[in-house]
Amino acid sequence: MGKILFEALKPGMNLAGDVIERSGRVLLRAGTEITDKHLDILRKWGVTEVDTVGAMPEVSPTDLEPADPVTLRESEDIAQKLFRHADREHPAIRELLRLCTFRIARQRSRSGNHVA
Amino acid sequence: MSLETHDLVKSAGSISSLPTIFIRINDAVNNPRSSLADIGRVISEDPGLTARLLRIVNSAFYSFPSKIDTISRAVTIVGTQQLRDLALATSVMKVFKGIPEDLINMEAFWCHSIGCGITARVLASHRREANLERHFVTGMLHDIGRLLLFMNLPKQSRAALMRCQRSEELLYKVEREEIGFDHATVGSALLQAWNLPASLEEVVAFHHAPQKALRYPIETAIVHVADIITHTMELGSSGERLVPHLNSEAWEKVGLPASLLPATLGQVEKQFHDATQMILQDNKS
Repeated sequence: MGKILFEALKPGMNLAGDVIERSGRVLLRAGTEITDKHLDILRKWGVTEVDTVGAMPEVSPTDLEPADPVTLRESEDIAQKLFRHADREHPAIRELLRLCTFRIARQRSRSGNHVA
Repeated sequence: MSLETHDLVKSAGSISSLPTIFIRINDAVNNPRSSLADIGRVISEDPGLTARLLRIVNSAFYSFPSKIDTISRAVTIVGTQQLRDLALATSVMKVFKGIPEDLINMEAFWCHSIGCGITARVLASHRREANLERHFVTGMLHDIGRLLLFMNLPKQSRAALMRCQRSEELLYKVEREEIGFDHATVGSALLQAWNLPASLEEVVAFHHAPQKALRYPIETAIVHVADIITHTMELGSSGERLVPHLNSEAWEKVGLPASLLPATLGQVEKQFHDATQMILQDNKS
């Protein structure tokens, strides 16, 4: 059992816990087998992660644009410098650092600038 | 250097009071006897403000299905307090003029402020908060103390900025050493002098130390996190170049999962360009 991101949720998976919307409303009960209709409901309510039976925890979304490894590495160096005072062990900071790296990489590949 | 923040605010001259139009709107909103039409009439007296507010309520910020073409309709649909908060956010910009360009680029400063305001608003919407504009305005004003420092203590501010460039320290910490207090303290003293609500004052005062906010912990936590996200996205700059320290309790208080961050950044990105365009448009003169 583990939390997985909405993107990784597929029909046929089983919910290990209730899906509760932030206002407190229960959208789906534990034990529900996910169908396409359920995916639609979760998407409309903006649910980003759910508890499932037998899922691998901490799957990151794979839909990010690929950048070449050099740009990505350089971008990560810049992002690491920006985050030098942040607690890089914190899950939110880890996620922001990752997003920051991708943003910088996107900007750099768009402008074609590869100078460090 | 032992200059008191309150003296700093008092000596600030024209800055020590808000534009009269805002004060009149605020009075009208707070007066239980005034009707929606009264409030609309006060706003309509200022054509520039009217145009700006109509642009905002017709933007992607709200995405209403039909066009809102009069202030009286905006008052009914958006709400009086919300419109007052938007009026505050935009009229504050007029107050600060003549800050040396080598200290801060004003457009970059307001971009950072607007970015933080939008992010605070998006975070609040994920929490299903009722009045979103409240969070927009606190985000928009969080670094306002820095402008006062740049204007009235340019020498010390320059020293702080230069030290940060060399040492890669965080600016708000260096301010405390070079000036004796930081921009958050100055900002909240300024908001107090302007007679703005205590909630604004507290959020601004503690946006780098959210654990000290006892009366408005959630609001403060939201702006604290919004500021960090704005730095992550490198939207504008208020002088600080590095991502500030995240208080993990504040993150818990905001109560959103880290997996919501990609979507949050996406939403901010979508609104940011539009919002800066419409807010900065007629402020350039």
